[in-house]
Amino acid sequence: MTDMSEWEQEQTDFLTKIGQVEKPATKSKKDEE
Amino acid sequence: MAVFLNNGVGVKVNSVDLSDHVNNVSLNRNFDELEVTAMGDSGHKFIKGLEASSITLDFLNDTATSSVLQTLQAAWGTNVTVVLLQNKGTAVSATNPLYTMTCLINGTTDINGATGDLAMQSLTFNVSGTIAVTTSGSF
Repeated sequence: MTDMSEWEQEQTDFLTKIGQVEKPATKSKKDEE
Repeated sequence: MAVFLNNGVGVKVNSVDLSDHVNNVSLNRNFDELEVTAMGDSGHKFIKGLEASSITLDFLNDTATSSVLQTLQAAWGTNVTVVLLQNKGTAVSATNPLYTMTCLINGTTDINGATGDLAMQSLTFNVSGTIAVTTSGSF
């Protein structure tokens, strides 16, 4: 059987890569300062 | 278990349950075969390569809101989640596994058929990545 958490992460990474899902927001260096 | 009638398959495209507008489903689970035949072999030998699965669905066209044509139009050219279950009326289990995949929606034939025909389209979508097969979860 498939490991769903691993499979879902792979699909999310794929959809992010092709621009169908926005990249998760990350803190910029400026925000950290 | 015994043989069974194939009239209970669940089909969801992009979270829309289109089961009552589908009359034929084929889940084509394939992978590339890489030839590893070498000197001394007397026959071809192969190993499993990348998964290359697809699904074929026969849709009964319907122009209603959130039905076949609108769902396919909204998904056209994008990768969306498709979910299949052998028996929609029964919980997901080891004897009724859930098949989840991401498909590129392509090749639609929105207007199709001859005079006197039921408006239908038979579509094959390639799976992007692999098909997840699980014995828990919900349709």
